[in-house]
Amino acid sequence: MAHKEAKWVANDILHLQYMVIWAVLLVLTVVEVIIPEPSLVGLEAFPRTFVILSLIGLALTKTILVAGYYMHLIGEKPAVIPIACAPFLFSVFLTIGLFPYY
Amino acid sequence: MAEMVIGPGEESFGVPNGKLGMWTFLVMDAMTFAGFLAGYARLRWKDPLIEGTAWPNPYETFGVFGIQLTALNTFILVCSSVTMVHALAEVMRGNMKRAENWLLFTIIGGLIFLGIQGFEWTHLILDVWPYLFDPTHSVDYNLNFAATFFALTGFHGGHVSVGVIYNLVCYLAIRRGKLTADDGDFIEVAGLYWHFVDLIWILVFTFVYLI
Amino acid sequence: MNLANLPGFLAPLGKDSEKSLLTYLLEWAYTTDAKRIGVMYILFAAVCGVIGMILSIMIRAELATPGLDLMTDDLYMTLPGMHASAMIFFFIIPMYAGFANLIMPIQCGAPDMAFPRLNNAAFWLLPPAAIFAFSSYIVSTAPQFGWTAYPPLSNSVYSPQLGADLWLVGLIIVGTSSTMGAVNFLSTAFNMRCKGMTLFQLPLFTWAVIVMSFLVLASTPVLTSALIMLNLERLFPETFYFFAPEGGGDPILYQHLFWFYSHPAVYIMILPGFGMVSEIFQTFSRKPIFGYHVMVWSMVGIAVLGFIVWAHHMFTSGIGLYVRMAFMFLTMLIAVPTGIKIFSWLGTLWGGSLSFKTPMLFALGFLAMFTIGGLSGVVLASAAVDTQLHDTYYVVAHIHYVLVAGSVMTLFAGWYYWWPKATGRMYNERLGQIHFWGTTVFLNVTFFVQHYLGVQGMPRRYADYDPDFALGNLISSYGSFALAAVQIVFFINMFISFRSGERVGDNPWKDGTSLEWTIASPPDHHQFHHPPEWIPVERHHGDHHAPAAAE
Repeated sequence: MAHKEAKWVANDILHLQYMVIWAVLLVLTVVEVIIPEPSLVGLEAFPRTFVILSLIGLALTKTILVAGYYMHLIGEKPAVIPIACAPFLFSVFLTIGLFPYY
Repeated sequence: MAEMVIGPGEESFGVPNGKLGMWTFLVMDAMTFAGFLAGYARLRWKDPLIEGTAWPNPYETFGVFGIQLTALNTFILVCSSVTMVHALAEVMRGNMKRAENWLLFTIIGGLIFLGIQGFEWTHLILDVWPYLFDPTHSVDYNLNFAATFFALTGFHGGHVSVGVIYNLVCYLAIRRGKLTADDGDFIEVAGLYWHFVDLIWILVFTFVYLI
Repeated sequence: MNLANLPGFLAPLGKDSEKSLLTYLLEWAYTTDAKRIGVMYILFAAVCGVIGMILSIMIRAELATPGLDLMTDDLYMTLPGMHASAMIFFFIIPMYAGFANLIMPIQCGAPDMAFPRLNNAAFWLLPPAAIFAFSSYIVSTAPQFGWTAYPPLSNSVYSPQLGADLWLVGLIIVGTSSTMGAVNFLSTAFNMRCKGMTLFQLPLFTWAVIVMSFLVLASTPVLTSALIMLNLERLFPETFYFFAPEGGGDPILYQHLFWFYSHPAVYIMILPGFGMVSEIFQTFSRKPIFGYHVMVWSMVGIAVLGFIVWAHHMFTSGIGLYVRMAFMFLTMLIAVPTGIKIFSWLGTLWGGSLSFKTPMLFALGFLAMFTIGGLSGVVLASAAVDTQLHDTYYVVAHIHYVLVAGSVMTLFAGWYYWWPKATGRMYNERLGQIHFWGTTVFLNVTFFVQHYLGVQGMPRRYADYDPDFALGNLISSYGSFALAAVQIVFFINMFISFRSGERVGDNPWKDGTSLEWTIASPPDHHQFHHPPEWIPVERHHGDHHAPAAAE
């Protein structure tokens, strides 16, 4: 029975981590909603460039959190990580190449 | 002839075949979304070829309530991701009854998400973009706003539906005792797909609704 | 033929299937054995290759003399696109997938693919896709916009026919099938290797399949998304304006998405061939491959560079000057890893004890003529020259030197090389040599003259042309007829060989070193009777003399 007890403690820590990430995701979502429309909390509108860059940054942070902690990429076997990151590289190629330069 | 087992060989990456297969599948799926999102980015940023068809401000089209409803939807999808990791943790712990309940919450979360999105689609099609069904209705903004919106959220919604069915299969398999505590890998692979759907929604929500 | 006498994996599994041909065929249809699926892929691809060849004969017959002799404009306009899609999507890509299914698990030391049922499903998506695409000829008019399907030509205003929709659906299904195959290849090659078979012990064909699968995974879905967008735009023209400028869309967006797939697709169609000839050069020059690691990394380099050069297909479609310069530079960069591979093959041949069997001849023919295609590619890579040569027969000559003299030659080389392994019988060497020399000579007759036509300015995709181009076109047409006729030798050879060829042992070439030459010909189900073990070989090239060469 004792070792089962120990497992429970370990799982509690695991749960704690999941819940912390969940709270962070929630906070980031709220921040994201406020950034393009700051009048919701009574602030002046932000410059457009700042809005775009910060939103992209926040979205990437959230995806990295989900991929890292919920999809268990952190602590995954090293060979899986480059496979998981490959589409990011290729979609960056695609987006940069598609950008309408004149 | 001795029956050979299909599974990881002596030399492998140290993960089950299913997990590697799901990750490589997700590479493919992520690139499909990359095609849509990069196309969206180009349409969004290029100068309109015809005067007066600038991209509308999503906050005005959807309304503050619409954005907040979708933010709630995002939150629900994130919650269902959390219930999914809890389901996996319970399977690892061997507590199948709890895992079953967590999976049920995940499925309900997915269904609520689909319901809210269906409500939003109905509202947008009937009230905001009447030209979709009535060609005579004049439009004074960029038509691709609606087109990319439907393509992106529709394609993502299709993924959510598939994920709900996938989770439902896992749920029924646990209920009928076909998946046991030894089959954590199976739930983990299902979880990978579900979290991926969540991850894509985070991007779609940011790019379509907020920017 | 008595079914019960068939050897290895060709043998019926159940008692009933020994007696009834129908049960035997159903056993094949439901099979999860990678080798059987591979054979089905290869047969399917061969049938589609013949269809594509017939379409190309129709093109050349119409173009033999100036003027509209044989067919209407409307029919001719469907031919180039349908020929290209038959050859690319239903011939070369499935053919490589077939060889990968047949050989790759054995080379890894795996009993089967990682997901055998997914493998079967991936194959069975192909026949419906082909039916969708080709039925456009029967249901209505086939699409007339070429295989590239650029809007606005391909939208519902300018191509209202149902055939275009069918073709698009067929292509989306093909894309799904090849990504399913790629997931399987990667999982197998990464995760199911036998003892001792580390990543850098893998034979180069397996490495080529790995790199090809990555290309498929990362590029095919982008084509799928572009085709879905095009399909939405065709089906709901009032709602979707992705590529229609009148609603804020952008036709160049489609070209970007399309070529983001279709440029890597060129490497999808050649890298497995690189792997095949690497195997063949090793075996028939009785030397290990020169510069194994460099060969692997140059393939990876080609793959990565292949993703950032796509806009060189669009030099004339109105993209920015600096974009053109960047893409021109990157395109020329690709010649570097390709050149490394060509010189490594020459290094393998150098000092080897060569034996000129048919597979070796095809591999050497590939090496010589693919280089011509590669060099004309460097010419086309220059944005200034491309502005002149774009959409002329020079481009047609280039693509055919790369795909016919490149991919198809490697496919024949691989076919002859692994034919004894797959069937347990040897082909007729004399007929094989006739096939090789006929193919090589008439291939050059057909396509070399097209360089001159292109430089003179003959445009592609037109049924009629200026009488000034008559002589070159006549030569090219006669060459293509002869080229097609020579292929009959190939089919006769395979038919005779399968009926009454000489039976061969495990290692008919005597010098095959990879794992497939250690098991029976043809292999049994699950290939190995006990888990194999690979004795690691020295892959570094230096002062080590290979045991085979020392003997």
